[in-house]
Amino acid sequence: MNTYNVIAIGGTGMRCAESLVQLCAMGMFDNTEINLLALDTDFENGNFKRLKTLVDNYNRITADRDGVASDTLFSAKINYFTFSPTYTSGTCFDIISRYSEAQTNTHDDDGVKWQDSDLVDLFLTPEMRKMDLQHGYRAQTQMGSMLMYHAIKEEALNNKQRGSDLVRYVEQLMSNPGSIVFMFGSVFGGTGASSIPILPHALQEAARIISKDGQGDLLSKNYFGTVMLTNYFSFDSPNTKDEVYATSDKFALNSQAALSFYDEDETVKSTYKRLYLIGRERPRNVSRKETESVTGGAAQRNPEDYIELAAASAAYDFYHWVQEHLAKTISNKNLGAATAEIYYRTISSDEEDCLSFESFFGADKDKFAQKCGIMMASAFLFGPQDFATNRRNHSSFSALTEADVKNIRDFFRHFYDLEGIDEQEPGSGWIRQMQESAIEQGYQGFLFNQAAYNTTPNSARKFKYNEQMYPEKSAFKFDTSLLSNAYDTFKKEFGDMVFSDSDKSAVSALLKRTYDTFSKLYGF
Amino acid sequence: MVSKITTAVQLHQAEMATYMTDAIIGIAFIVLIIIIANMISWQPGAHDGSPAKRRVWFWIMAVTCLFTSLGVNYFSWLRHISKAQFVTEYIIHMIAAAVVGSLIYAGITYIICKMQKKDTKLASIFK
Repeated sequence: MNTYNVIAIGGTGMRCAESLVQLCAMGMFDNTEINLLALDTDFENGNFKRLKTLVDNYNRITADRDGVASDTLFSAKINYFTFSPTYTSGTCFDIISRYSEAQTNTHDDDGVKWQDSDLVDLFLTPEMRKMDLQHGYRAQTQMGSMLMYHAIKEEALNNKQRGSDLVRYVEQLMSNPGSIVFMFGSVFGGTGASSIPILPHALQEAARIISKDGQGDLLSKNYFGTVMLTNYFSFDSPNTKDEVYATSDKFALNSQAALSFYDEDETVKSTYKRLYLIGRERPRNVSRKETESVTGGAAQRNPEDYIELAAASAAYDFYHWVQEHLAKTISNKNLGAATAEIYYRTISSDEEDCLSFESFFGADKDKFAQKCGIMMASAFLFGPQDFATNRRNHSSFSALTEADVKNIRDFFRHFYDLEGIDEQEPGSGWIRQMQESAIEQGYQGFLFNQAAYNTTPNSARKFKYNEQMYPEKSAFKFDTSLLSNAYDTFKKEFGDMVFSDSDKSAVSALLKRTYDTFSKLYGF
Repeated sequence: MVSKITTAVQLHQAEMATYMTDAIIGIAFIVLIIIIANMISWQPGAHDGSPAKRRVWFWIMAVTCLFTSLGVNYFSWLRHISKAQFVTEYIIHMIAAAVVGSLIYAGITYIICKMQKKDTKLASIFK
């Protein structure tokens, strides 16, 4: 079993983590235990809540299984941790930093009078210092970096005996040297842009505080990688009376400044083995059509974007690269110091200007096509075709409970709401939003045949995923006999064999059998 | 080609042949219902209506079997009988044979369906 440590920072990081969880659900991380730390200042953020809901759902599905699996859906094991600085309503920089005290500490050096607060005044206006932190740093990264570093240190100090999520996360990094750690975050927003430069050192400091001998060393003993998303979306300015709020018109400038920093900062380059820069030329406007833009909180919930899947594929790439080159160090003789490899890429579309499996996973395109295809077909099977309920009525899966069926249906509805019953976004779902983002950016298609995205709740039950799911030129399809259909053929191949362990692990047995059946039918 | 039935011996032979023929028709309809039941696809969703469809076809085949037997009996033998008392006697056996043929169809089909594993298409007819 392998372990992979992932840290998702801020709203963008959360959405990248969602894509990572979907890749886990497809089975892209066989035999892997993923320790996922979600880190945000805004605990009520819609993306934060959505990630937690998704991971909780995932873990309920895998609850009947010990550890990891392979060649099946939901093969990875996900351990979920969260950390959010405790910013209650009214908390601001002035309070945390005790600014008023710093203001009163005056000094006189050879006639030059200065106060402890002078340095902060160079970076922060009074409005920024008094800004309510409950909804995050609002793209004020010069403040966010300081506050996040401080918050992590304080968490370690206050909870090293009681063991909070962050403390446990750091402890497991300390006890497993040689761990692979990957971070998701943006460089243009608030929390991610604030945290990526300082997080490894903040964790190092937390390790030092937590360790018994004060010698906790995370940086040199573990392998850090990160994806940095440049400005890929924009939004209308929020309608708010607050004096400080994030505006997307500064995102490009923020990205430029951040990239310049990362290119020059020796600490960043020596800490991270790889940095993946991902972005696009034209940002996507994600302004809410029905309601107004918001500064944060539960209402802040941007739609999924294929850029986030690219970020998750970067995490996959880093994981496999480190495993292949564990002890390799990157050095640049000209600089005289170890330098991170910086990868940037453009996503290529195929000859029909569609984003294909190869666009995201390159050499592993077939693996991704197969596993994503099984997941997509399973969305039809467990959604409108309600196969889990069908199996529950069969003797071979009599251990399946109503709750098990609901968990499976809920997850696949989150993947693709084919029945149009999601309360907040009916007919949507992760992959549907990915496809919409690709179409909005001018691509002609996304991974699968357009027919797979054009179903209605009525037509989804009868959708011919045997021949209409993959693109027309794809070899992945299976035939049905005269007067038969995809569901009928699947059910026949699935069989009615009673599994010896299905009375204890009915959900895992069902998913494994489904995976094997589709693999055989499609000829994987 | 059946010749005119004029003697008691010929009548008796015709009656025996009728029973044999209707039994064979019953068996042929067993094969037909097995084919039809397997051709009806499982329907997706929480409530699969395909077992009910197969059941309907079972009864359609039962009725069709009865009338097919009667039709074959009529054209093969009954219209070759001219004597009135022979006609009356033969009609009784014709109807009995057709019913026996249908019962063979229904009974053997039922037994075959009950012998199948659960969740097969045949088993679903008499779930």
